[in-house]
Amino acid sequence: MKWLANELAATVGELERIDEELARLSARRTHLEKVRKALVEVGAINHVPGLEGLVSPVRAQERYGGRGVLRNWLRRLLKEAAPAAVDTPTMVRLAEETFGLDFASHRERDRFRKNALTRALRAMMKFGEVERVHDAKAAAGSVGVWRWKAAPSLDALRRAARQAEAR
Amino acid sequence: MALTMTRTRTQTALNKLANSLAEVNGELAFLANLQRLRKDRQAAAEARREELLRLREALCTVIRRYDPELNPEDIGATYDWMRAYGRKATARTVGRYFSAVEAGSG
Repeated sequence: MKWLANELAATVGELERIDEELARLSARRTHLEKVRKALVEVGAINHVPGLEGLVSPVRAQERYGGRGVLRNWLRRLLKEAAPAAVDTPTMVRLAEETFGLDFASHRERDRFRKNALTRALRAMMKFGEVERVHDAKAAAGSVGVWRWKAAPSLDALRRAARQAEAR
Repeated sequence: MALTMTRTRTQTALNKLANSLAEVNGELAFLANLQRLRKDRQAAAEARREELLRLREALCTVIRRYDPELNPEDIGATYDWMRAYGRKATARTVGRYFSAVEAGSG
């Protein structure tokens, strides 16, 4: 009979969780409905009436808590570590703790490192936010090391200008 | 047009949104300053004011969606929109403005 009581407690607990989630989703839906109407209205004043009929839905990224969350977390991590660099295995370990990630296998962890983490870092490198410290042509399996790219100091800029003049 | 997973946010888009909100703020201030209107103009002014308040809320929502760290309340008012009706807020300008408002709502 103790089993019954435990099962009932767990079931009621899950039902409460579901009710809370439904309430959260309902509030979120109400908010997004307001945003949808606002976007359509602003589209109309910008000479794009009937914008809603022209676009198909796109299901945006919601992993790690929302769009841009992983990248912002990487920014904070590398800025705090600067001028020191951080290797990708360390980033993966910290991401596991921060986002509560639970990889079923070493392969899955590796996929996260290559697909999510390194892809985000490469995009940030294109924007000039981070720099690669490791050799990009290094053998496969070698560890990636990245560093926050600080804005050059005035002294560094002056030195660069003098060097360019001297050439 | 091909839509992608990335939602492009450009300075041009932000400028356009901010400018639209500034124009709405300007028109609301203009309506607030108009006094001693004919009764029919008061009704038209009130209807236009309601429309502008809805539009302002929509623009603020969209600007916050563009960037949650932006505060739409920081955007002021512009009166460039009034050039379509006249260079100064004369009786003729006000007349042209309300003719356009009434034509738009009809």
